[in-house]
Amino acid sequence: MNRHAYIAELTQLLYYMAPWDRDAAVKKYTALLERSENPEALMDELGSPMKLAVTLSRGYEPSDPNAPNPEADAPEAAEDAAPAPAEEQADVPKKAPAEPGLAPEEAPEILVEAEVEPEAEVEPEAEVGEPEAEVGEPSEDAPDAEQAPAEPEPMAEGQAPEAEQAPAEDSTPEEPEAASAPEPEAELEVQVAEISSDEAAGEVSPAKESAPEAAPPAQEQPSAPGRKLPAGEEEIFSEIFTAATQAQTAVAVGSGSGRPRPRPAILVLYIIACVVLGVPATLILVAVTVLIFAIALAAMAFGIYIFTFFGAAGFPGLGNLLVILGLGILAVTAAAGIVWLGVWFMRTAAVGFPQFLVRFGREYGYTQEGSL
Amino acid sequence: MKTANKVFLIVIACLLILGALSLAVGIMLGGSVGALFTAARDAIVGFLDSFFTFSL
Repeated sequence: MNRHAYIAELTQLLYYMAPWDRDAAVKKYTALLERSENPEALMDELGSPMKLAVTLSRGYEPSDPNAPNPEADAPEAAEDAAPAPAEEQADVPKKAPAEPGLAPEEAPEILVEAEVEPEAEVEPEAEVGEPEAEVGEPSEDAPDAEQAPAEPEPMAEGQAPEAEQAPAEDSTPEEPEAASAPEPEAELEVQVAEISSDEAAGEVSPAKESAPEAAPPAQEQPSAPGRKLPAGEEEIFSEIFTAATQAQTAVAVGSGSGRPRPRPAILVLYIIACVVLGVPATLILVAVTVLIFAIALAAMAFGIYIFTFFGAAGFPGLGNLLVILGLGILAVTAAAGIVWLGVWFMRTAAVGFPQFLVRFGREYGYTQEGSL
Repeated sequence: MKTANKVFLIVIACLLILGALSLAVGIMLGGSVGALFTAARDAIVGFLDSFFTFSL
C-alpha cells in the first residue's frame, strides 16, 4: 500500500470525526508521510489505517468548530506561549536532548511514545509538537524562525537541513515546543495521548492527577505502536461504530448545527402537491395492486375448478384427462406468478411511492448545512 | 435476486412447461378444450341459476 492509498483509506475510516477534525488529522498524517524519507517504514510504525483509526477513535471528542484557526494565530500564540508554565518548562529538557537529533524516520516513534505515555496533560503537547517542528511543517515553523533567528528555516522539503540544524538547537529547545503547543495537530495527538493515558491508568483519574501512578505501566508497554487491538474485524468495526455514534451525538447535541433546518415555503408547497397529486396517484397504485391480486385469485379459482372435471363422465379418454390436467396446472401456475407480480408491485409502487415522496420531501425540504 | 425468488421462478417455469406439454399431448390424443370450457360455463351458469332462483 502506498501512502496515497493509506491516506485514502484512513480518510474513509475517520468518518466518525467532525469534518474539521478529520481534515486536521488527514493533513497531519499526509504531511508526515510526505516528509518521511521512508514512508513504508513510517506506515509500518503507524500500523494499518484501520488500526490508526481505532486508536484515534478511542475517546475522541469533537473540537469546537467555531474556535479560532490555530494556524492563523500561530505567531501570536507562539509569542504568548513563550513564557511557558513552570511544569512545562521543567518537562521539556527531559526529551530535548534526544529529540533534536532525530531523523525524520524516528518521528513515528515519538508519535507512538506520545500515544502510550500517560503523562500530565501538558507534557504530550510539548512532546508531540516537537517531531512536527523537526520535520518542518511550514505553517508551524514560521514562529520557530522568528524565535530562533540563527537558523533560517527552509520552508519546504527541508528534512535534511533541519535534521542537520537540529543539534544546534540544543541550547534553546524550549522555544519550538512552546510555539507548536496550540496547533491542532498537537491537540489531536494530545487527545490520543490522553486517551492512551486513560486506558493505561484504567480510567481511574484524569491524566494530570494520575501522572505519577500511571507512569510505571506506561514503561511496561512496548514502544512499538502497539496497544492490543481486538482480533476480529467485527470488533474493530463495532468499536469504530460506537465511537462514531458517540462523536456524532456529541456534535449534534453540543453545537446544534447538525440538525437539518426546515424550509417552510418549500415544505408547505410540497405537502400541498403531495395531497393533491400524490394521494390520488397512490390510490391508483393501490387499486392496480388490488386488481392484480383479484386476477390472481380468479386464475387460482379457475384452475381449481378445472380440476373438478378430472374423471368426470362427460370427458372420457386420456386426451381429455391431459387437457384438464394441463389447463389446471397452467391456471394455478399463472395465479402464483400473478401473486408474485402483485407483491412486487405493491412493495415497489403502492408502498414505495409514498416512501419516495416522504424521502424526497426530507431531502429537499430541509437544509443539510452543518449536518454530518 | 434472492435465492428464494430464483427458486420460485424456476418452479413456476417448470410448472408452465409441464402444463403446456400436458395440454398439447391431450389435444393430440383427442382431448377437447372447447368441450371443457363449455362444460365449465354450463356448470357455472347452472350454479348461478339455482342460486338466484332459490326460494323457500
